[in-house]
Amino acid sequence: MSGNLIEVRGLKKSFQVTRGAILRRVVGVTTAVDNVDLDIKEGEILGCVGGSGSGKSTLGRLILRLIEADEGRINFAGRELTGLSFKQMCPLRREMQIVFQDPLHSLNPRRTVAENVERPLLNFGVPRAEARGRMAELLTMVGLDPTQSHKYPHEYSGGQCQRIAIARALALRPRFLFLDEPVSSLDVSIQAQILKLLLDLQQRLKLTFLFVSHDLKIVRQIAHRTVVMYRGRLLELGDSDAVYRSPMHPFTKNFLGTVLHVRKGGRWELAAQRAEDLEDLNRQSATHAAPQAGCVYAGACAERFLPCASERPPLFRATDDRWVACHLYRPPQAAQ
Amino acid sequence: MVDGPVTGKVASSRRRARRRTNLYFVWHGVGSDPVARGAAFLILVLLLCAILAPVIAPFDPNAAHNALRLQPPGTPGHPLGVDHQGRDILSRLLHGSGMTLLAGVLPVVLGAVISIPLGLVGAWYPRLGEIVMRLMDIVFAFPMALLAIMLAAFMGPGLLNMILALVVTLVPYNTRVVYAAATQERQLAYIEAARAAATPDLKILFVEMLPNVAAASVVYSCTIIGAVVITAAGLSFLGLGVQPPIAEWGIMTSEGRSYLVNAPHISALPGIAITVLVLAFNLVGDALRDSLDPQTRLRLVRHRPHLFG
Repeated sequence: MSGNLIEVRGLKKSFQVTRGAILRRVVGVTTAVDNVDLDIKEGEILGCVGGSGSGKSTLGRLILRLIEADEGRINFAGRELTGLSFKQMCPLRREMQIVFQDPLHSLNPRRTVAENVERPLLNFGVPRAEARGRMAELLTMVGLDPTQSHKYPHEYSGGQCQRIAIARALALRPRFLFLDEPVSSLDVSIQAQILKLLLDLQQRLKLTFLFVSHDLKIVRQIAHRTVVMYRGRLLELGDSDAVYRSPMHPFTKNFLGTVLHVRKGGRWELAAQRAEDLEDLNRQSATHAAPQAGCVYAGACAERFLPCASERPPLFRATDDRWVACHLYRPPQAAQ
Repeated sequence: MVDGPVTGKVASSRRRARRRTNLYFVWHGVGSDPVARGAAFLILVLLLCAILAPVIAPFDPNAAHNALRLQPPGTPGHPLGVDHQGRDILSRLLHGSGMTLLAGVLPVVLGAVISIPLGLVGAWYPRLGEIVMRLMDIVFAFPMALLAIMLAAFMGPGLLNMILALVVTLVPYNTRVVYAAATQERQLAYIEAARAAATPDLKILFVEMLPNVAAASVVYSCTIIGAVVITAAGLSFLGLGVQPPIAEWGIMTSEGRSYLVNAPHISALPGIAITVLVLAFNLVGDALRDSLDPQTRLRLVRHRPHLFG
């Protein structure tokens, strides 16, 4: 693989819960993304897993600058994104696009499929006739019939809408796609088709993906590398196979346990129950534990020891290509 | 193509490459519903009456036939009777239709033209939106009729001032409808997709969002026309709107109030006319909503294929 397409350094975003209109005051702060460093290599599929509210969608939106970061830098193909104005950002928007979870709502319901797909092209001054041709090309590429493009999104099924959304995202020939749970709201049989399409497109068009999902099986299937997020922080990063085969961080072990149960032939309900328990536990610990110092997972961790409560672990290099944010993996020379 | 499944449903449906325009659906959507068709026809008739009143009205609307004062409907030569000043009611109704439509419809249209951008922009910029909506709340605190009376009294009587007063009263209502629809709409992913494709804010608002929000406003406007006709009539009754010798349905209704026992038709006939007008606009508004929405209009057209080839 070649170099990094995206380099994220010290990215931070917190959302303020405010009350009042004119005399606005902050009643609560949620840190969605907390001091994240991340490299996305050109041409790779980087999977991102984590529970709900772990900040994985926010991370992707920050990279696309759909949300403004509080702190940190984002470098895209050698260009610094943070601080660019709307105008300066425009040419870069061609290079990075997004596919959403809900396929129907990601298309404008009052515009035909053709208009939906052409919109990005027209924004960049492509002549109407040319945009039309490109639209037909794109729809064919995602496996749809362009002669039906005068129809409206609701006349298509969920899977077809997701194909349209992918076609629209590819309209500007981007290099990077942020896939925000692209198959989570689809049928299992359709999921497989969409994943196959995405993989096929990724290889043919040499795309780079950031693939966010809470479905661990899918991420394992599709992603080259996987990063595990919990409450806005990266806890583990490594080759997908390695992360899944031998999870290192206690949270990852616990989190993957929700899936391993199924693989051992256990019942679905058991896994679902476990996932729910974990989520509950995390929520409780989230409210009790002081978020300022120490590991974010310390409150619920079975293997915690003294430093976990006082010092926040950075990402330690565990093996060659594995990074774990846990004091258990602190290299000996850094211990003093 | 390596991967080309799930086109079955699309490919098997009948080839209909031509894209139907909104106008097509409005025409067929309204046309295919007998009730809406009747209502649209009524509005058309009213418009024709308003235009052709000088030609088709049997008498001058202000000509007095003193011998026939208070005669009920069915009097020879005066099919709808004669009012307390001996004026032919049919002629007055015909002449009044234009003024009534003007006083009822124009403020609503102008109100919508102002409140749609106001609501959209307010929903897009939350801070500005809060300020706008709180200002609207202040206007809301006054009852609609009272505010209109206050404004009309302040600006002085006359048709133009009345219309202006009604516009000011209507803007908060319509803005709230648009604002509510737009705040919901802006959460949806297609707006974020538009931003990801570098669409400027104003284009997102008026190209992407407007068609999704306008329907709510159109329907609301159609339903409120009735209330506006009545408020306009009330203003005219108080001497703040259209001035009395001019035929207008609201004035006609109020003028007959002293004769309700002896000659109820003087008030009742223009009253019925207003009711019919309001009803017609409400029904057309409903049909308009259904035929403007891509999700419902296909059902509308498909289920009644016998009505058009």
